[in-house]
Amino acid sequence: MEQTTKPPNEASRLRSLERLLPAEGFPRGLLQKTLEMTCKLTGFPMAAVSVVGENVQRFVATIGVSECEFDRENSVCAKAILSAQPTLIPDLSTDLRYANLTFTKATKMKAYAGIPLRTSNGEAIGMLCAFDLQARLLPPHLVVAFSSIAGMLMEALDERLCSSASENSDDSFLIAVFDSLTDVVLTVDASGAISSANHTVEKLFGIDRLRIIGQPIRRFLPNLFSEGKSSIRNPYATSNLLAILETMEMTARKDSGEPITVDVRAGRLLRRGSRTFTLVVRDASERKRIEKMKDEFIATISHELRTPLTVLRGALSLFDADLSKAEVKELLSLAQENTDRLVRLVNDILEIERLETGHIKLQPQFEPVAKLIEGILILLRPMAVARHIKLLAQHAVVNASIWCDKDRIIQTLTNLIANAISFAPPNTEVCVRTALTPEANLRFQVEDKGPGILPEQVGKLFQRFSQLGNRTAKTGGGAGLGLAIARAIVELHGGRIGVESAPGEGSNFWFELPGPLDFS
Amino acid sequence: MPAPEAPSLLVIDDDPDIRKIVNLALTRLGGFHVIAVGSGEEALKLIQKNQFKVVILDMCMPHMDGEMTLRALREMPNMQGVPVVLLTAYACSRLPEDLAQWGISRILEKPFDPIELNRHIKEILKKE
Repeated sequence: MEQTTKPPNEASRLRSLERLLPAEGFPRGLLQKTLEMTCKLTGFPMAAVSVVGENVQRFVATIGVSECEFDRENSVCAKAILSAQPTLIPDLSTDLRYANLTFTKATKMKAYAGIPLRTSNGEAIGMLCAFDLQARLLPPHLVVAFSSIAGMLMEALDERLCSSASENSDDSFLIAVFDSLTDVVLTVDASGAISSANHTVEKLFGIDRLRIIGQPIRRFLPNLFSEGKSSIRNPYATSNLLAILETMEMTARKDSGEPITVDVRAGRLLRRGSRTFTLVVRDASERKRIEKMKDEFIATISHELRTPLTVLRGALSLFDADLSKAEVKELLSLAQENTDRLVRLVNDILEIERLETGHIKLQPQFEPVAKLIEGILILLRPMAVARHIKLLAQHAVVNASIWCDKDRIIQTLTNLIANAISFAPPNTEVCVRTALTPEANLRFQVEDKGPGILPEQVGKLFQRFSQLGNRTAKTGGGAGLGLAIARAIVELHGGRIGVESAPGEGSNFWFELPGPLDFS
Repeated sequence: MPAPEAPSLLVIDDDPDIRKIVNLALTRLGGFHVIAVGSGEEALKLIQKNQFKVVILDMCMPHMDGEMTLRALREMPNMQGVPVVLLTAYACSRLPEDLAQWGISRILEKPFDPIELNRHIKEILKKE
């Protein structure tokens, strides 16, 4: 038996077949008319529209033969679709290519005339064919007309597909658009029942979009129509036009009854003569969270600015009073210190904003680690001496250089070391260590014997304005932004920062940088 | 130097610089005896052994904030009816709802003028 091979565009051919001849809305009438024309034109008594599926060839419309199917290997049509030309066989039973096929044996057909049914992309989905139990050849002058019938059938099938697609396309396109929105879009009919919903309801209200349809909107937005409030007046009770342009914040209920804060925007439209309301509902929790953060930030900044301003204002007022020389001197130094505090605070606020919004770009190069730390210790030694603190450095790796932004790492280490000096009790040590981690990061560590930090405070330590009550000191960063800045710098380097501490046991502030490292 | 019979004032503020300024203003301008402490806890200890005419209290302090301190003060027998001046760092900070009930005579928002603070305290004492 000769092996039937498949056309090169088999996959797309099968997709086209499914599209053009769908089981639902099968164009029986069109096919039947085509077969009648075929019989009339060819003079053959039998005809069929034959489709070649993945495994079988099937007659889907016939005249004179029953609708039946054959394996592709045993099908004349499955072979015929491989050719771009019409297949014209006067006698299948004597043709060696077809004589042994099940089709030939089972149907006892002799004459076969078939035209491939080709899409505009050249995919042959099957054959339009005519048969006779008597051996005969289709006269050549009819072949062109027969081909035209097949061509017209394909055009009709294609047109049918296009028009049905355009019928649906507006709706399906709009549905796809609404489903892509992150806001819930609902329509509510004149009785207050939800008439449609986009996909997002499932996330926001925790209910299947099909289950929400028909339910009263009150169940999900109980305050939407409450009278006397700032929400919508009941549009069903009055004939007032509903024209809500501003967004309203209100409490919605999920399917489970759980309350959520949402922003709702409502509109009115006329649909098939009856009033329909559109509602756009948005989860407001993220907006509320950001607003709260902003409020807290402003409150804290305001507090931090007001404190040094109080001292400055007080000092200026008191210069007029009858003060001793020593008191004037003290006022001056207070004014000076608090001016510095204000300047540092304003700089830090700008710095953290720029770091966290990514407006600062690092300028990294290889920096020798030991030298970098020694430079910082030289600058901080006077502060340490004044507080009777011994400053030490210990390096587990010698001659290491690390790829980093030198100024930024100096800033970070200076902050950590200055903090340690100011919190360490007199006559203790502050030690700066470097070591390689198992992940081959370089770890910087600043150890002090200070009061330590409570576990519940550790988490807040690297957030903005997190100065802990008992650690308040005007040395170092000053406004509670120093560690937030340090964290932003380390994270910008792709590293991480942390602290190990316990009350009464000192603190060990550390950060790790991924490098790369150089040991040459 | 304040006269020995001058009224004693208690200042409670966690910021040492503000304590210095307030102390200087009330001592030099008003001629009061001033004791300034950095926390509510320290204030409570002092009150057990001393009598004050007016308390100047910062609202925003770590651990024991102004409101907690005020509630604790009002439970002490020798603090009944002693006027309190509140210092706040921002307008929206939490204040006890019924100010009169808590014996709050004034609220001064930072940055306040120490001369004004001094004048307020003199007015309060005059009413007594």
